[in-house]
Amino acid sequence: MDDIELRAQLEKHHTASYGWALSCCSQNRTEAKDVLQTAYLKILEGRARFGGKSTFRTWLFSVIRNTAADERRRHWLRRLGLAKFAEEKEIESSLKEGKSDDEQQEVTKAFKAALKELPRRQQEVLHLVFYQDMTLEEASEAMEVSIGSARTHYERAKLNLRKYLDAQGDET
Amino acid sequence: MNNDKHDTKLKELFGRMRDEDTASTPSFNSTFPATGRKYMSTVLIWRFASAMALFTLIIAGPFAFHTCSSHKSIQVASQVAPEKWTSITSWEAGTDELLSSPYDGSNDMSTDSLLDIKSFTYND
Repeated sequence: MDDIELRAQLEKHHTASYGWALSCCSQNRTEAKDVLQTAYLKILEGRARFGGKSTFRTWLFSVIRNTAADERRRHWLRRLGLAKFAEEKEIESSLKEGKSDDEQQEVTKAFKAALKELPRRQQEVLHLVFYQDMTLEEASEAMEVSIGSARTHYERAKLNLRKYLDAQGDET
Repeated sequence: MNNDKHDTKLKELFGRMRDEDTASTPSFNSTFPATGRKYMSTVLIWRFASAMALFTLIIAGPFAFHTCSSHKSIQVASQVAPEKWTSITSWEAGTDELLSSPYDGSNDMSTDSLLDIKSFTYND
């Protein structure tokens, strides 16, 4: 794949990639943008190469996921727990920037908070299936786990969110 | 049935999240050129590092050679010196045997005869 084709593919999946980067960075917009840039850089430099074993989107998502994991490891502030505070501030400010109405904002905010309570793998599989409309098989490829493992994470995530979803169902 | 209801709800909630994220997604052109700049800066850093390494080699090479050769001469000198020390330490004085033999006052010294001649000459 040449540079022009690569750029076209990246541009095509840019919005979805940003959504996935946000999910990998616990909804931190600044970090998500950095991760996305680093992932593009990896691809541009040839440190991550598309082998054609899966779809381009699945491969791109696994590159973004690995980049976010690397950044997390590097981020020493995160280990101290200070970043959690910064993230919460970031989410609050990003929600304030949004154009949607207050009620919708509250619902999304509560949902994001409920999602954050889940283990990372469970958050990832739900995002890939419901946000990115991927099949479980595609999600497992992007997460670099077996299909069986992805299914387990998926079922557990839904089970963990059941309480929250039932409460939402009662409200609507 | 309940599972389907949950799936629908999840789709709806993630859909809202997607709409919010889409609205705030930075444009591709603002992300990709930044990547290009990062890429260029990485390339520039590597080029600069290579140039510095080459420069150091050219400048420091002759100096290192000179230092090395002068160091060699010091080494040669230090190799010669121990030999001298060895010869001094292995030197034995003619009177060393007196130190090891017990003295009872009756031992004739090899130089006693000379003392007698001296006293004889002096008395004359």
